[in-house]
Amino acid sequence: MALLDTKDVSINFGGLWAVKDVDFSIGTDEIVGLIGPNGSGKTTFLNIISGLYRATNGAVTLRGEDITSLRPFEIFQRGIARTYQSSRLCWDLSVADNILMGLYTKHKVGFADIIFRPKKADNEIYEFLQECMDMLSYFNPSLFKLRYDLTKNIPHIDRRRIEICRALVGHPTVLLLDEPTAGLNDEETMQMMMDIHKIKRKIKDICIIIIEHDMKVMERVPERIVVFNAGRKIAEGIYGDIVKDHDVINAYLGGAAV
Amino acid sequence: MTDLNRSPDSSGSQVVRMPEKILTIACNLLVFTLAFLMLRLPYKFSLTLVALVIVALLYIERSGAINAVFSLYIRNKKLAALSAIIFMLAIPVLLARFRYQSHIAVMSVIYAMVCLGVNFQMGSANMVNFAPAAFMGIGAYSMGVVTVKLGVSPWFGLLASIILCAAAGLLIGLPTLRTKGYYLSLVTMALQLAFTQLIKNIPYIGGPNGLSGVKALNIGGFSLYKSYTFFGAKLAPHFFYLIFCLLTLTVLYYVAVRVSISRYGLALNNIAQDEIAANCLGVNVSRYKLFAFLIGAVFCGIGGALYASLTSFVGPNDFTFARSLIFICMVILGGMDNPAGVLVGAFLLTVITEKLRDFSDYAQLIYALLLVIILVVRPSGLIPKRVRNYCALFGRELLPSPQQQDAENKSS
Repeated sequence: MALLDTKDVSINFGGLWAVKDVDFSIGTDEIVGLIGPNGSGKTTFLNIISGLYRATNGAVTLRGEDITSLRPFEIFQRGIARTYQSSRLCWDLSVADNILMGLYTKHKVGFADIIFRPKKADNEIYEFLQECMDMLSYFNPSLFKLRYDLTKNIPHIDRRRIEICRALVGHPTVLLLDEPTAGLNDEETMQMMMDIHKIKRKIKDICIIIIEHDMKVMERVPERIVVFNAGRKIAEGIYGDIVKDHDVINAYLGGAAV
Repeated sequence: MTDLNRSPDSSGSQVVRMPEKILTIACNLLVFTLAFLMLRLPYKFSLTLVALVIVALLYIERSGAINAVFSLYIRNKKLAALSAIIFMLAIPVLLARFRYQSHIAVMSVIYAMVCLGVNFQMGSANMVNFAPAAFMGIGAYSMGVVTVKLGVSPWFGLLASIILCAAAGLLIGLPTLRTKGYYLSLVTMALQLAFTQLIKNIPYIGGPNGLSGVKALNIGGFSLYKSYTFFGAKLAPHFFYLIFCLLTLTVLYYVAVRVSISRYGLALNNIAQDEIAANCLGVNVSRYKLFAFLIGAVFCGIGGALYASLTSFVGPNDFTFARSLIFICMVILGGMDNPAGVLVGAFLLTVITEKLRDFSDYAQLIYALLLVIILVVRPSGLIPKRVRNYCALFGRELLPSPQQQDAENKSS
């Protein structure tokens, strides 16, 4: 059974169908790439899955449960984590604080414990922090030393890693990566590709949806590619077939190039 | 910043520890001596001292001294807390015979409570609430109605203040959930103005004349606000009241600090900086905003109840928009999102306003000038907020993971 399914998902922004009738499904332990020209609805589609937008029609189901009308924090609690095109870390919080937020839903201590049983609350944070640091060191051991630095002082690629750590530390079942290599140079892009492969090794059965413009990444990382154009899904298949597909070439390069 | 990141055990031998303990006590002694002198000295010297302290705080931050002091306190948590409480309780004793100075001290403690409440919304969650005086007013009027109209013990008044303020916090929090930034501030501003008009027009609570004869808190037959004579020396009536307020403030400060280092504080900070990201990380944003309003309102309410009990009178003019602005200034001056800073801000501004009573025409001017200087020189306040350093807080170092050790082995 597929893990995450969307059926006829559409969203309308003031008369414009940003996403229209998209059927999509992804199973456990799978990496799927989303490509398409700018404005084709890729990020909107991720926003629908993560609950930031509510689909006008259609349904999103996770393991058979309808999550279409849930709010973002409820969807996260069910195991869908994401990163963003332009990173949404908190610049004025430390690296440790940012990643610790990824474990926010796992906290068990209540308000009374925080006031009356400080030891218990502190121990919990300590254990969580240890988990966060293990995750961070897994991607880049040198970041361990910078754990109490403000995130705004961290290099760009490491910010991307911190964002991925924040999404991963709670062990989600679905990870949505929105342009993880945006703003990275070639060498860093290679590192980021390695990191995405490392995710698979670290967390078993995780499924990843990745939006990317860099075709090098698309060739090597995803097992399957879905192409969007003008809000619709126009093609789906392995990389080799996709790059030969007429509709795809049309969408990317315009009719004249064919 | 570098000082913060140093692990707590890097200077860990017993030999180094000993002077550190003395240093901790010395720091506390200095802080409370300065506070005492500001209260005790005549206005010329007192205000000079205030100015010197502000300049010093602005200056020593550059060398990381403020952070160093905080790290010192955190490393010697118990000692710092204990010595601070002892020195703090010495102040009412030293001021026992000075009525007016004791009054300033009580006022600054009550304002500090309100400011700690405002800090939850303004500092942690970045929601500028222009209605702290309204919450304080609700607390004060609850106290007034319970003791004057119903004629029961002021302790019930305090309880009623807490409950009513919590309810009011939720009620006022609700319409602000759908607004953000300036619009949220405007909503709270409107509520503040409406509150003042409302209480002026309810005859039951005295309308524009207010309520007088609010009872002071008492323990059994022992009133906390009354002039007693000890060994022939006549004490200021504020003596026991000041001690009670200081102990209440200690409890509230503890709660504020615990919240700010817990997951609650972290979630509020995250909401302040990026609401969407917080939402996508499983934080129920609405609930946390309501939480900030609720706990802030309760703090303001306790302050208001103690204020009413102190002055034995509540009137609409004590809880105006101007008063709200003063609380906001205190928080900005002291340092947003740093409970210790908020206390300093509340204390300094109260001392300045009270000591300038003789020149109240110029008070507003000096006030404004000070705030402009702070906003230009150090927008984050006299004692800026700090990065949470859990290792130092818990006194336990995090273990490097296997990958970390591998990397270090390779490099060495």
